[in-house]
Amino acid sequence: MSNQERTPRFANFLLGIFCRSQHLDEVKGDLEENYLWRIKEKGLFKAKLRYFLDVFSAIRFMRCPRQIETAFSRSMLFSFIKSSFRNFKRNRVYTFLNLFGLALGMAAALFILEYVSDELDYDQFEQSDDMYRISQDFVKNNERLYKTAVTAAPLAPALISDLPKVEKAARLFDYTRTWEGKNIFIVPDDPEKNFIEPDAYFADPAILDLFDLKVVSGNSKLDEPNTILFSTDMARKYFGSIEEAIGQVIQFSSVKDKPSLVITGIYEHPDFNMQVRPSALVSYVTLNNEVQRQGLYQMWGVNSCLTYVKLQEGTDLKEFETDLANLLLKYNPLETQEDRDNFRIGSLLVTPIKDLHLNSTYPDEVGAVGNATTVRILIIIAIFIVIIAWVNYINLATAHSLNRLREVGVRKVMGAKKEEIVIQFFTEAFIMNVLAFILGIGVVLLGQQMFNQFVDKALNLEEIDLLRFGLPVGVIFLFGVVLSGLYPLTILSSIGAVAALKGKSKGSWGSRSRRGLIVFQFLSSSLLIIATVAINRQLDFMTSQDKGANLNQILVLDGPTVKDSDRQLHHQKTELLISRLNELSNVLSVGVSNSIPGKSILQSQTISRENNNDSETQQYELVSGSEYLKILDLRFVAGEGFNTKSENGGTREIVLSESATKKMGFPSPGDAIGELVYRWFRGVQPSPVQVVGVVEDYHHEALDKPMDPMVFYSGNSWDYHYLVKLQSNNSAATIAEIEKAYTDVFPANPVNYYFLDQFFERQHQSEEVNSKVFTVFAIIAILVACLGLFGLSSFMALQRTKEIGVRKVLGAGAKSVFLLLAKDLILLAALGFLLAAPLGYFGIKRWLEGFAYHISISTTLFFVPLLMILVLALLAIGPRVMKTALMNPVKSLRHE
Amino acid sequence: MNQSLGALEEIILLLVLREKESYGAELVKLYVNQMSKEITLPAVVMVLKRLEKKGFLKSRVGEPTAERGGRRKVMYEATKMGYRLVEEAMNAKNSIWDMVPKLS
Repeated sequence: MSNQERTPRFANFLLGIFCRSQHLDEVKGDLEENYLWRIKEKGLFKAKLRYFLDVFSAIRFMRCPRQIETAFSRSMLFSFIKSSFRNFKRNRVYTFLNLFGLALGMAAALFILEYVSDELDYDQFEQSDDMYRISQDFVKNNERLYKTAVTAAPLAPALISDLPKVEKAARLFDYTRTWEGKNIFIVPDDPEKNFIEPDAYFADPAILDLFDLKVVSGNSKLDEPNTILFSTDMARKYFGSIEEAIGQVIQFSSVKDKPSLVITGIYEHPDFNMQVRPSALVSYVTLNNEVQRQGLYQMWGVNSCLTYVKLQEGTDLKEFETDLANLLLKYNPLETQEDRDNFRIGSLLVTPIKDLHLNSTYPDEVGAVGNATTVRILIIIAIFIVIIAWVNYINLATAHSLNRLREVGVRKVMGAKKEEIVIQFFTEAFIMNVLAFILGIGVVLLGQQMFNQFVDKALNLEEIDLLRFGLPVGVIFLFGVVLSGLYPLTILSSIGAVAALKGKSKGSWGSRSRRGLIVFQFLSSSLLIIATVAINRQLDFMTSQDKGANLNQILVLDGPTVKDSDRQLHHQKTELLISRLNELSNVLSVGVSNSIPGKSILQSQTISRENNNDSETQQYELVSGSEYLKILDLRFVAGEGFNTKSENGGTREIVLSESATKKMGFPSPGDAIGELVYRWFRGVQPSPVQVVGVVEDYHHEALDKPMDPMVFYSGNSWDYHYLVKLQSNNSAATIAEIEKAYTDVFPANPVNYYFLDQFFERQHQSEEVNSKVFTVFAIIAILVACLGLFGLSSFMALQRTKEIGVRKVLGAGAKSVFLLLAKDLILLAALGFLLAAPLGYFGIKRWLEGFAYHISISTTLFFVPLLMILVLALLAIGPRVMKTALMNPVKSLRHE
Repeated sequence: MNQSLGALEEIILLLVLREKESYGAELVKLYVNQMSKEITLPAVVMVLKRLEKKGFLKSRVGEPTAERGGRRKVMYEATKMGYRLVEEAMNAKNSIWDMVPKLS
């Protein structure tokens, strides 16, 4: 192309400005072609002239056809974001209320999500889909006598040899479960290093595979006797490092033979929570070497092992349980066809490993036991609180939208389409929600520690299981954004431009559903408050109720675990300790027993009035020294305590609880005195004992459990606990003396002591956590609801400023104006409460049914929440309404 | 939509029909030669776009050629509807023209 054939540059520049880009290429090409043609036909000058004319003519493309700007273009979106922030800035109070409410709600939800994630993150073993724990139910005549989480030791080997469906099976055996006391490890070279290890187990080798325990150092020799595996934590605790620990010898001093164990390996726990989290694993075969007792670990009658199995994929569980029943018949000498025919069955049941933490129904469940109901309730609360927060946003936004009518009007007049207004509002809602979310995370980070103390867990944000909750939470979040944007929008965008410009909209539909939303808010927060009050009162009741026993100023010492195998020798030492403790100045009396209040009695005893088993009844047995009844200050209904002198005499004595006499069929407690009753052991001739006293029933366990019939025997042979009655509580000197006496008599036993009343209170822990959690979330819910009410009342007052001016001019007093404004909102709050009351009633009733002893549902239970709601609602709306009511009518008439 | 044709629109459409397929620059040349009148290219393109929007023309992007500085042309072709419309208009005009007394 020669120089003169080049099109004029200035013209091209103009063309770029005039012509729309989508036609530019076409027009430019055509123009150039024509230019060349014209040069040939008419010469360069004319061609150039025509070219310029053409370019100017292209100006028509600028305005026509009209440019269709989509609402999604970048610049528009930017403008929406900008105007959203301007709006936020202009209405600081409104924005603050909204943001704060939403953020609080989201923080609460995040906290709950953390908690729930943690609860659900139990036992996520690789093979957990096909893993089960075998448990046992004992049934007689279709009535379940008891059920237990443990099974007999020979079960696991029998499963592997007989049932091909069982791919892997392993036992965990907790020594203390059968023999009481504590697991104590001691480093033989350094006897100062001795610790109580509650989570040490005797185990089969397969447990490593089942529990995803990875041996990180050394190797597992769990199939050889006298070997032990340490967890990484244990290795550091005893030897400072993992490398140091390998090959070291440790002594299991609480086990009868005090076996020396070689540490052959160190394992690491998986990174999820575990129901049973073994700190050390001792090879199971070590038990077979235990002198005198080894037979016990091969017996079917002794239930002491946790048995875990991994079944083949798709095994039918019903069929498998039948197989288990047949296995029992084949191997268990105590399980006979005759028993079966008498409906006296011990049946083996399988529980999926994933259900153990939250859904276990076994009273003697091991390890960390959670509560599925609590988890479910918490999820519901989380959803409620978030909804309350959104409702708040909706409410405030709708109320506020009346103020923004004019803005919408102007936008419409300037040519904004309906979609654009829609997007404008969604942008606002979205930004608000995102900001609130960020703020909520900030609140969570700040409050994490406090919350962790509340629920007694180590939680953090990373805990939240994104795989499980990510999608639903995301969906809920988006849904909330849409919901909270949608509502004010439908009101705003549906109004015609002219009406909007005038700022007039009395959408009765809008205000009616807004009222509905307030009622809903107050309904949910009332429910939470009612629940909180009920839980707290029940907790109060449980702690303050007369337990029938005096638990004050009693120090409990756990009995020794490392002790002489000679019973007689040990008995002497027990007596020695008792007498030494009695010598201390601050000590009133000393007793021993095999159980203490606050600890469930697992041993039960079959007793009959006749020397045959027709009238046998099951009673809970407690073996205690003669002092026990006195120390606890139990009240005698008939007879008296044990006669100490005849303790070793021919006839043993027994004390019954009142309900035990009833269960055995004595017409009145007094009739039982002096009677002989028979204790039954299977296959052993029953021995007669004489009833010497009857005590009033007392709460041996917390008030959620019924007072079971009990029997007491005298004797100091079961020294699981020493009860020391002190003159005054806080005497550190006395405790030091007691400690010294204990270590003198029972060396190599760590001293473990606590006060009985505190120990008893510990049973209320789950109620206490519940109460705290409910209190916190109830406060958040009512706070958010009140924020909404505050915002709403201020807008309402603003809207009606002129009306109030008129009223005041016509002679209305401040009081009547206040009532007029407050009445509506207070009534809504009250209505919310009224709707919540019956729901709360049934909820509380169901919850209380879980307690054997509970408060009665009275009107005061509802009166307090009602009062709280009304007062808080008044406080929330008070200031703004008051201001409006007191305003100078001249000013308010000038308003607008 | 407005289904009648303006005078310029009619001529451009006729020219496109005659050529079977054409583009802006060519149409300017044809117009100038046929009508002995100048016209600016954007006016022609404008008309083409309007006709296309009304559904009388359809377009496709053609091959780039050297004389256009390597830019692609947009080729236009009449649709059936365009053809019918011109046919009707011409028939109407012709029938009137036939009845016009001839100047001698």
